[in-house]
Order: sequence, then structure tokens, then C-alpha cells
Amino acid sequence: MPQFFANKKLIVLLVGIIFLVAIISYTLSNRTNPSFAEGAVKDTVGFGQGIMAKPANFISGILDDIDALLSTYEENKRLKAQLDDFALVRVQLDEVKMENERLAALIDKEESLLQYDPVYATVIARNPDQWEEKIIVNKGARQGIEKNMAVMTADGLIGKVVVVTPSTAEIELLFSNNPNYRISAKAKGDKDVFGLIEGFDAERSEMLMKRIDSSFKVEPGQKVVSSGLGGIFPQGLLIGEITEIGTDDYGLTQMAYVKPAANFALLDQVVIAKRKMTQINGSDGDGSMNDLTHPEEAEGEAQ
Amino acid sequence: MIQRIAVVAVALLLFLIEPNFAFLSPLTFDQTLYYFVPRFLVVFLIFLATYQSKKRAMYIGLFFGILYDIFYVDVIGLYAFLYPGAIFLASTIMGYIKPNMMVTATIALVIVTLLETAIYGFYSFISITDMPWQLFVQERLLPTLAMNFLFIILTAIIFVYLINAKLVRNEMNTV
Repeated sequence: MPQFFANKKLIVLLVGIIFLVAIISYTLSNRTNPSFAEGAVKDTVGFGQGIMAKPANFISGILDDIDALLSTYEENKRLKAQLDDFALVRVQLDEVKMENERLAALIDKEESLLQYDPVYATVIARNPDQWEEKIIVNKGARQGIEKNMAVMTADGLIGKVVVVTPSTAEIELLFSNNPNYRISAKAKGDKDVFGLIEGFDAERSEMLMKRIDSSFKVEPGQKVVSSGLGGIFPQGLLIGEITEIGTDDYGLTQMAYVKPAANFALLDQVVIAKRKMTQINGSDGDGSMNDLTHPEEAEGEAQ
Repeated sequence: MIQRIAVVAVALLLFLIEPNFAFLSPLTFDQTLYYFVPRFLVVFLIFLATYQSKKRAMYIGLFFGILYDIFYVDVIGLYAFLYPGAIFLASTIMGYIKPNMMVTATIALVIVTLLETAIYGFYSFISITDMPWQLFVQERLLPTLAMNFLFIILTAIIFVYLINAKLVRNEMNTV
């Protein structure tokens, strides 16, 4: 034993390992609220990263352009076919919008779940180890970003904000397998069918939409959008399309595979949606197990 | 002195450049996503440990490990432990063999493999990923090794020249 204590290096190593394990387990359990020092480091590195990301964004922009150029001919053909429809739909939409405004004014309804303020942000870094699907953008608390806001690209929803510092924000993508990551969604059909997006099937590269009431009928091909009932996301952000229906773990509810609408490679510009309606912390929010057992908050999901 | 600053500057540059390569990943071939994980900083630090000072390489590794943890991972202590650990392991192996560029490059790849596996183990343990081992090797480990191998080929001579110019001349004479 005395010999053991005489080996100073070994002692230092052991103490170091114990210290590290302690820090790891502490930070693992308390991951979402960065301390002041963490925030400062994040902002500093974020500043450097923002400068370094410019050339990368430029290159990925060029790659996008080339990609767009290559598919121009086919896209043009397809779009021409849609153009005739478009004019018609446009007129109808205007009509419906006007009517909607008139009716909303009639009942003094000023805000709806659909409305949001977009905040445009540039991606400055993506975790190089790519295990947790996270990206970091150059807008933070100073620009009014808050935790759990919805993040999307032009194609559709890509994730939500998980950590905010004064000038950066961290976004966890839909790829996540984090069990506390849920999004309240609905499948568009003749009648909306509600469910929760939770989990990701890595082998199929598709998301899982769970807890769909088995008395409702869902079909492959239906579009899935955010329902806005989770408390934080605005309503109607496109998430993806259903590809297959299955049964949930306990056979009580249905589950659907959802193919994401957005493209997750080469993300450089994103839009963070700040919803206008009051925000509450529901299933899009902290997503702790407790929240879901609170009936008044989970009401929307259960229906 | 200038050389010391240059070494730290290169380390900083590599640290900042790594995520830019992560932008381009994952790439899709045949419906499968392939992940290319840049581990340039570790590779550089292994070269530094071999050709200059093990202690300094470990300190730099610790510093950037902590930065990495705070900025990307939010689990403080993971990379702060793995970076110096990887460098320590590499230079211990180097102690038994006479290092030259080829040997260092090979060892660096072995260390990158171990590092990736250790991180895979950690993330499986805290159940952030449920990727099976087979898929991990196919979709992550092999592309990652290929990418870092390419990186080593392109930069090994620059690294060694930067760290210790005299050695390069010696080595060139022996080849």
C-alpha cells in the first residue's frame, strides 16, 4: 500500500479520472442551461467560427447552385405543368384569405397559431463528430431567440432550438434519437390526425410519428405538419410525408414512418420561427416526462 | 518562439476548420448516409507529440478538448479527456519504435480509429445513438478513416516541416 501512494503519477491520474467522471455526469444531467462561463466561451468560439464559416457557406452555396443548374431542365418542365394550376389556386387563395380576414375581424380574433415572425440565421458550425445532430447558428438571445423555437428551411421543418447563448443558438435536428425530443404534429387529410414526432429510424432515415389514435385512418402519402398544439411551434410547418403505417410499441396506438421534407445536408441558411401566439411549455417544450402526464398540457396530443 | 506560435496557430486553425468539413457531411450514396468526421487536430497533435514535445501536445489537446466540449458537445470532460489520452497513447507507442513519417501516419490512423470507437461507445452508453456496430463501421468509421488518411497525405510534410524543419531534411535523405 505505501508503495501505491508513493507513485505520484498514478494518484494524479486517478484523481483526474474521478474529477472528469464527476464533471461529465454533472454536465450530462444539467445540459440545457449554459452557465455564464460556458456562454462566454460559446460566444467567443462562435465569433471565430462565424468568420471561418463564410468560405464554407460560400462553397456550399456554389454546390447548391450547381445542383440547381443540373436539374433545371426537368424542373422547368414540371413547373410549366404546374403553372396553369397555380394561377387558379392563387385566385382562390386570395379569395379565401380575404374571407378569412373578414371572418377573423368579425369575431375579434387577432392572432392565430399559424402566424410567426421569421428570424433568418446563418449556420456557423456543425458538430464535427456528428453524433448528436446539432448545428450552431449566429443568432441568439439578443435577437429574441428562445429555447424550443421551431427551425426550418424553405423545404420544411428541420429541428428546434435547444441551447441559447447571447449571440449563438444550438439547434437539434429532427434526426435526433433523444427520447425527450418530441414535436406535436398532425397528418393532413380529410380530417386532421394528431400524433407526436418522436425518434428517428437510422436504417430507413425516416422519423417516427407515434401515438396516433388507432380509430383514425392514416395513409401513406399524407403530408405531416406541425400542429401548434405543443405550445411553442407555430401551426402548419411542413415536416414530411408518411411512407408506412405500423403499430406502436404496445399495440394501442398507430405509428407512422415520416420521410422528412427538408434536406439536411449542406444546411447553411435557416429560419427560426417565433410564434406570435402566446407560448406555453408543452410537448414541443421541455418535453420532460412530467409535462406529458399533466392532463391540461397534454390535452391536445391525446385527442 | 515564432515556431511555437505557429504551432498553436495551426492548432487553432484546424480546430476552426473542422466543422466546415462537417458541413459537407453526411454524403448520400445509394440511399445510405456516409459520415466523414474530421479529426485533423488530433492528427496534428500526434505529429507534434512525435516530432517535438509530448507534454505540449497534451496541453494543447486538453485546451482544445475543453473548447470542443463546451462549444459542441455540452458534456464537459469527454473530449477534454479523450484528446490528451489519445496523444498520450500515441506517444507511448512511439516510444517503442523509431518514428518516421509513414509510421506516425499509420499510428495516427490507429488512434483515430480508437478515438471514434471510444466516442461511439460513450454515446451508445448514454443512449444518444442506437446505431449497431456493423453500421458504425460501414457508415462512419471507414469514411472517417479515408478522409483523415487523405488529410494526412496532403499535410504530413507541412506539419513535420513546421514542427521541426531539420528532421524533414534528415528523413528526405534517408528515403
